Amino acid sequence: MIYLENIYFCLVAPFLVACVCAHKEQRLSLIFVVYGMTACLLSAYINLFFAQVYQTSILVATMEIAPLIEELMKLFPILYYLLVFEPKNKAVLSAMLMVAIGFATFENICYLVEHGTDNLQYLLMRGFGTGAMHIVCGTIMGYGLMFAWKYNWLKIMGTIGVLCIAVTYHAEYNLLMSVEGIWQVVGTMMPLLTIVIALILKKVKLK
Amino acid sequence: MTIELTTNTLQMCVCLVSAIWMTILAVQSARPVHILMAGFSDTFALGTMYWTTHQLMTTQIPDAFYLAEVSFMAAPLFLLCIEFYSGKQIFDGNFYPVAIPIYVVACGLWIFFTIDGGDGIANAMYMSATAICFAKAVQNLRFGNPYGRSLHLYCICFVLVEWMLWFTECIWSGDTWANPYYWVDNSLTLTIALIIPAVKGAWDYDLP
Repeated sequence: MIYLENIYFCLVAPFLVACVCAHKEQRLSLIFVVYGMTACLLSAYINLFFAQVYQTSILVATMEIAPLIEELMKLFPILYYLLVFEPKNKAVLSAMLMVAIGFATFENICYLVEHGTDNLQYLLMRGFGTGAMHIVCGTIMGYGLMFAWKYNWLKIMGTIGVLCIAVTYHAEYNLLMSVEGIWQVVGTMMPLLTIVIALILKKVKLK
Repeated sequence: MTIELTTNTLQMCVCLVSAIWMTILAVQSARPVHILMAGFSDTFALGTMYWTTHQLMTTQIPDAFYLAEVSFMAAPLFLLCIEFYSGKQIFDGNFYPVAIPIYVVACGLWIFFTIDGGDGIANAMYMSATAICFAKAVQNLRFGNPYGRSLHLYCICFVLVEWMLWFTECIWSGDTWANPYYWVDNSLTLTIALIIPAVKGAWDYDLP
């Protein structure tokens, strides 16, 4: 049996110690990484709870319930940060990315512990697929919140809209990865393809 | 491949192309109205993509939760933002007495046809959002900035096609081309494709 809580405490401990030693600006990033890991652990409990409520399998919960729960859990601290601290725009993106990094890292470590380190192909898919997907979702939400919170009238609806985009993107990825074969390959390439499209759009904007 | 899967796959392809193109235009323009239209097309495309790939891969409806509904619920919110804040400076009392009975009748007909637990609530919310969007778009079309006409017309077309889709879904069934539902679904695909001409027609328009 895998004790996720034990893995969590082992991973979080050095970050918490680093928070004490770090400068003020670095401390915030470390706190968000720790929260990302916490969100991953809490999401696992909540996913299991809803899987029991709906009486579905873990696979169905992964495809249909987990994306909504995980993206909501990632969003909550950023909303608190926005409402209470009113940070500058770029700080929001940085915070969202740190949460996503913490989330993806903890999830990958749990998979490593559960499945071992033998299968490099699988681990590359986990790293560049699932890990990258969490970062892409975090980036989508970060940029979306940066835009939406510039305008008072757009804050609520913009946040909901951005959350829905991230949730559906996450769900699409989980759906593609749930079936072996060409669908899984497409799913693995999806986050990397999205990043390539984003870089092209950035070049278009700079022109 | 069934007719439903064929029309959904076509719709998914058109939605994805429109979404990417619209996002490029929004990045070039950087104006809130274009970014909101990109948000609308992106959410609708993602929802359609999830629904279609679910059908293609699993050949069954979702077991626990229609996750594509999340995106379909978010899409009219972007249009609502545009229409609501386009008309911020319009004050015209004559329009509202006409809009309210239309909205109430539309909501009632929809709930009568499709209420079914959580689906009913989600559909009622979606219908409320689209009804308000429709009412504001008509108002903005009549009294608003003429530069934004094509956007308001697009919004009206989208809402009307969506409502027709729901009514045909309730009344007709069958997996043949004689079912009007599939013709209306293809009309929705065409409407999604028309987002680019609509935005280009209102290129100089921005929210007040």
